[in-house]
Amino acid sequence: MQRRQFLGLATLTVFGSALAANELLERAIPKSAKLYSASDNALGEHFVSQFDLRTQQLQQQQTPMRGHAALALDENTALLFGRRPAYTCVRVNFKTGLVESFKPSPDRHFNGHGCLSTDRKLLFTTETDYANKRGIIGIRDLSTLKPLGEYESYGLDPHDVQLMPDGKTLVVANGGIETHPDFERRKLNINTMQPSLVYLDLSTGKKLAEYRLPDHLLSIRHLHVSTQGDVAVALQYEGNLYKQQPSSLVAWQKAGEGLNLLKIAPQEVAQLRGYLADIVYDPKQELLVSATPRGHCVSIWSTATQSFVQALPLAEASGISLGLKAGSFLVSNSQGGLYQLQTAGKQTSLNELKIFPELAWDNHLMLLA
Amino acid sequence: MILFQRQLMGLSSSSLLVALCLVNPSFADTSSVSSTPTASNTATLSMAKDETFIQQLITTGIQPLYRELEQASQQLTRTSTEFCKESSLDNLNTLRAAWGTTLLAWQRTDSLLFGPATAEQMDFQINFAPPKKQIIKGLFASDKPLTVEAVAAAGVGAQGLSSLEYVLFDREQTTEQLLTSFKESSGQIRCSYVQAVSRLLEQNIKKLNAAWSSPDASKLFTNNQEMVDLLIGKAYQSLERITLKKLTQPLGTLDEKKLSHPYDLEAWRSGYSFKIIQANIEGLQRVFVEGGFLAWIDKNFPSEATKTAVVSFEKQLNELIQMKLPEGAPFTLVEQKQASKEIDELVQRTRGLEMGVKRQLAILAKAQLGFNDNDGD
Repeated sequence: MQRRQFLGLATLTVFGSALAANELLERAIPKSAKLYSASDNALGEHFVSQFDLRTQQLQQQQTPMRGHAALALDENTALLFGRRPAYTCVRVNFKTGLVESFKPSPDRHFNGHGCLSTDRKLLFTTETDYANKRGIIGIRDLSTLKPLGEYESYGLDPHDVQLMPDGKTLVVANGGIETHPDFERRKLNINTMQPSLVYLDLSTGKKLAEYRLPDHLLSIRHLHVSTQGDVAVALQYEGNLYKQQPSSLVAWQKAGEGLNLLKIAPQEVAQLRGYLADIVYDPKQELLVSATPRGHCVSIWSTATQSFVQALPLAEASGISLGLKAGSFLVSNSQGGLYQLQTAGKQTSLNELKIFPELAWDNHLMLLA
Repeated sequence: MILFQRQLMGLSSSSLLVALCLVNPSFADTSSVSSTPTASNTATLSMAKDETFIQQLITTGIQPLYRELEQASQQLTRTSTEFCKESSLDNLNTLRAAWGTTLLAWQRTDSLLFGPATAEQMDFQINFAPPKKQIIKGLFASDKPLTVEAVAAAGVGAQGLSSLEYVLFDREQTTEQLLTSFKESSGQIRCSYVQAVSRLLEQNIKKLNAAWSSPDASKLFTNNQEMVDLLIGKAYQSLERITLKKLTQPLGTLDEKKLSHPYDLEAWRSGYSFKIIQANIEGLQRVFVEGGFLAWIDKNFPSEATKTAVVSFEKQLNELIQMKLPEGAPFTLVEQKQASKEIDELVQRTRGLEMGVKRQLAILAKAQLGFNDNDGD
């Protein structure tokens, strides 16, 4: 696709009426459907937010830290993982207003993501043992939030962790970047960073497999695991974008196969500005959709063709989840907007659902329906 | 104060609306989902390099800041030598004043933390906070005078401006008591430490100044886009540090129990905690106004909205620079949670500037800046 096509397609498809989107959504909404995300208000105060798609009601619980990823446990309860380097994560109850904080073990900080075991008894969190320069997967009892132990992540800067569909394996995105709280968020090892995608045995912590990309400056950051065990990876480029563009920003690993970069033309990848955030996969359409905040768009990639498809403009797109309706996705942005992205059918469209002007959604969005 | 806050927010919102409608006509259409620069129009940004302007920016905006910093650091070294020759109260006060001048000169470069300032973590070598007290105490256990090499080998935790502040200011002691510590048997080691830290600081600052004084300095900006992204992005980060780290956190505004945290103030020992904020803004003014960056934005992104935003931002900078700082020791004010209209004003004014960068300048100049991704995650 040429740049003109990229722009033209984008221009054609970004307009949509909120009414039409809401009508579409209403038909698809089940009895309960709620979105969860970290957010900030205009005063810089931090929250975990719950938006009810049916009633259009927003509930917010203030949190003592800026959050990153949210994980809904049930309709009323959610975990919010602190943005790295974080010393606090919380469990909030939207019904009672209870906010329970939990802290990392000494010399560790949280990195922003976590996942549950199949039986929902264990919580796994990405952490950094900064005194020893190693990545950690913390293990906690979900009911008490007390630490039970930890595994090596076999790389620096584990950012995202997900449970594989077998229920026995964890997949970890080791971003590869060395940081230390003394130096805040300064990246200390760009020249030598070694990102990796690592599979761990959930019961023993043993490393089962490890994959790397050809360009060590592509930080492996966010994951989406399909029900078939395929893994989508959103990447962030740590090179100087003014001098060199990355060869891609999405990697895809079909279950049982290798980790491959999806194809994208140099003029197209330049539009994405080296940075993908949240990512989801729709197996029916064989499409990956990623929030692309620096490129101010939502980027769409095909696993069928193993390549980039198109980008739809959206200022500071931040979170993304699968939608309620087949062939749809839900998208947030840091200007308080919630949108429905429709990719099924002849024309891809992005339509406004709701805008909260004084609210900035953070990088991830989770749907519980 | 509420009125003042509303005025700030009102200005911000109305200017933004004007800006968005004028920068790109499509932004005026409320059905559009796009309200800041999109992939399409950011992509059209020139990859060109305005060499003439960049030279001017470096010469009139950036180089003077580093030149003044180097001069201040030379004076610091001189006064530390004088003090160690004669550890008098006058010489201590002169040394403290030289340290303060150097600290403020460094803080004026806070929005320039890129290129030479961050290469090999130079900024941490110049000012790493809080200092590592145990490392410094370990050095004091030496049985021979400390050298520049010994301080360099000890790591950033025992180097730079914060380490000097730790040994030159002590809220638990009177000035006379502190002076005595330089005269006791261990005083010679303590003094050699002050001299070595000062010399190493001067050496590092000299390297930084040399990098910006080099004829190749303009190569630090690959093109106009990188210049815009860096200047606006680093200004935003500097302002964000002020509101979050230098004010909100110590004041306990977002604290679960609303407790204040005076030890989280930067430069709390010396009482420079609020002065450094004003210095941060002065540095921003030197680059954005005297360096001509705001005028360049006005020229290259012409619209009424740009004009309004640029004039407003310059006015806000000047007002903060001229405002009366809270009286008294910042540590005490924060510790005792003493209400002060000056502290409130400082918070509101810096927040106003932060929003001015985020919601106006960054948008109008199509700079890469985002709530979610600034600094990466």
